[in-house]
Amino acid sequence: MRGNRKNWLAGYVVVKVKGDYPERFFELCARNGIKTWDIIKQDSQTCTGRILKNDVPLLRQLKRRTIYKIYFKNKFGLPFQLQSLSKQKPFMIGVFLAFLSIFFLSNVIWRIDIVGLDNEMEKKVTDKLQTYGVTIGNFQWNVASPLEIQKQLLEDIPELLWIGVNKQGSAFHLEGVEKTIVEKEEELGPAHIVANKEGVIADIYAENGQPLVKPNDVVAKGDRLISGIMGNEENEQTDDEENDKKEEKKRTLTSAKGEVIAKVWYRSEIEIPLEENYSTLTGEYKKRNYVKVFKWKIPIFSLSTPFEDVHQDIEEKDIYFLKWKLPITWIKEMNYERESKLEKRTVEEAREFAKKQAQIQLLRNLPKDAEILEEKVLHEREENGKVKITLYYTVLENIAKRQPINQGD
Amino acid sequence: MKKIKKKIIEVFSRSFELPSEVTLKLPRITLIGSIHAYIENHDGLVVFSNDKLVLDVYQGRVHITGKNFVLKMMLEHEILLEGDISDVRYEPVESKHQGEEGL
Repeated sequence: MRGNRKNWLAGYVVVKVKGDYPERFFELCARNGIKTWDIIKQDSQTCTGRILKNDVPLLRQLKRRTIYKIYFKNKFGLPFQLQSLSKQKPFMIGVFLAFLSIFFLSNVIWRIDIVGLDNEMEKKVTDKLQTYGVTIGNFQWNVASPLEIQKQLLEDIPELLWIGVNKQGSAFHLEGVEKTIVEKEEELGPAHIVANKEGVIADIYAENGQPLVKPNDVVAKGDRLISGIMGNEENEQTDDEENDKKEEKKRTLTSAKGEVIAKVWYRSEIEIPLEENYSTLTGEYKKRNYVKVFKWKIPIFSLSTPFEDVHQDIEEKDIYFLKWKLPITWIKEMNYERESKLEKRTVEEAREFAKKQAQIQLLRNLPKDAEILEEKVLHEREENGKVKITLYYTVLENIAKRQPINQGD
Repeated sequence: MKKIKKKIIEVFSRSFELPSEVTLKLPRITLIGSIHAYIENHDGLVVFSNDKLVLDVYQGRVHITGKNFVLKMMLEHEILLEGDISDVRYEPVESKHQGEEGL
């Protein structure tokens, strides 16, 4: 029985042999390694038997050496049934279309869920998603990866504190957390303005409170600049705490507010090598597409040779069939030509460069309204192919910092 | 010389209890009731019809007679016969040439 099933899978044919002693032909088959079965002698001139479909060509060869006449009668088995099936074109087209539609529908975005945001934000997010192409009905391969969408959303909507983008089959799940911007209370209670850095006062503007310093005064860090205590000035200056407290109760306390612009000095050291190796992209690029099946990458329409030195951006897209991820992925590869350059600088150039760099670095650490007044080279040294510069900066910046007044309760 | 060789093999197979169909090229005929006959180690088919099967074997021929014979399987040295077997006869032949001429 098992043998029968195996034969059925391989396909077999009924052979009718005519001639004298027809059984001898089957004997010849057996000698040549052709398996035969169900041999019946119908009369002295005819004999039928069965052989595998794969043995038919060999049987034909054997027949040429003999005088027997051979007729193929019936065909059985899977290969023949498939053959007859494939002849029914409408059916085959139907099967093909069904698979094709399932395949396409599996790769469509069917649902976008947004959780954790209020209506307004949700609308914003959906609008943004629309511009990225993440809409219901779009194909998944037209859309960037969830990680990238996440990054883009966070960049484009500053109100979002965090958003998680998750793809589950044909649905996108977004979970967002909104930034709750706490409005700073303007009237926070009594406070002083103190210096947060040491410097020389250039300008003072007290919006509220009593200024204690004048331009050109030198202040240390933590010095009181604008007092939140209105009233007697002499008592304030004294550091006698107990006296102060007594007096304070009589005086009005206010929340001091104002700007104190001061000259502040910074010292920065920077080292610039005279020779530097760096790589830049030349702007030349080549796009390559691959279809990756299991481990093999098959290039598509791109047989050009890549550059010698390349920077690669690889984007891989999964393709789904129903819920299963197919072992086929679409790979987009961008090859940017990279060029490494060796730059040599003269000492002069290195110094200029160092200054520029130092300024950039300094401004990065300062508030936006700070202004560099003056720049001085304190020290310059060249050693081991490097230029070492110590710079001194005079910067105008706001040094005001709020300090609440402790009311003792 | 041939006879001596044959004798040696006979003694050899007997003393080591080797199956004789392997060492002596003899056919092995297995009957299952009267419906199946399984013949191994034959040298070729001579006659096959509805009621008769004649096989060449080493130094002889095997005649099987009966009714409704079908060869269920045929490989180079194996045959499975199905049908109503009534008779299995062994016929020693001195020279095998006759059978080979028949082919």
